[in-house]
Amino acid sequence: MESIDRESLRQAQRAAERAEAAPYLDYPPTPVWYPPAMGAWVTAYVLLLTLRGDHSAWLVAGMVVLSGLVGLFLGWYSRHHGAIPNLRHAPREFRSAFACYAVVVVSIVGSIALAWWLAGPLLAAPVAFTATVAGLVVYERAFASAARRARERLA
Amino acid sequence: MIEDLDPVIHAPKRLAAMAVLASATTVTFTFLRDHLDISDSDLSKQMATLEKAGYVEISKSGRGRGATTTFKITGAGRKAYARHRAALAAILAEPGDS
Repeated sequence: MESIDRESLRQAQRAAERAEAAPYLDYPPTPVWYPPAMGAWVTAYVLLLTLRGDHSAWLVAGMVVLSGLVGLFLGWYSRHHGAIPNLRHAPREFRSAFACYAVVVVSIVGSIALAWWLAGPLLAAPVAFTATVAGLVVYERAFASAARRARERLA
Repeated sequence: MIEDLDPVIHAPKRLAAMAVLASATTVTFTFLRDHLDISDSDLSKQMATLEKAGYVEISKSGRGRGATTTFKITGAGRKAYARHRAALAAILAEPGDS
């Protein structure tokens, strides 16, 4: 170990930086069905909330089913992607994408709540679907842009 | 400082593998093999070395064509990798003669 030259150490450091970023940068294209599927999931969740009160057993059963679907999706996605990024170690380019994600989540929840308050679940359901699909498309683009910038820096 | 470099991690393929694992919750065999651009047998050998050092956990699920092997960094592995990276950075931060 004593005879290692600085150039090889520099190369090792560079290779480590690229490998650390790989779980964020090397990912397969997001399937086209993902945003509408998530939109349908959120819509189902919103519609389930109309069952609170007199139909709480159905509400609980529905929640269990929706949670199970999320579990199945996460299992499939982890195999599809190959490496699930640990969000604490994201390259700095992803800060804006994560901020975008927070804005998207707040916008989705806010728009659904507003629609429910103004017109009830009949309006909240389509708003949930539309806001979720649009929000995910925006976030996917922000993530892809961050990945492109990080690839350029580490090239 | 050079003595702080971990000889198990310092080998280029294992360094890259540890770097990927350090920034992911789980990593599949396929992802790691493709990223390192090495053969199945070579990756198995490198990961067995890291597992023997207590730096990674290997788990297998399913059978036949649907079988999946996944890797996860251990607490000891995360600490060893962080120490190795810090040693690399410290050595390179020192004024050199080149």
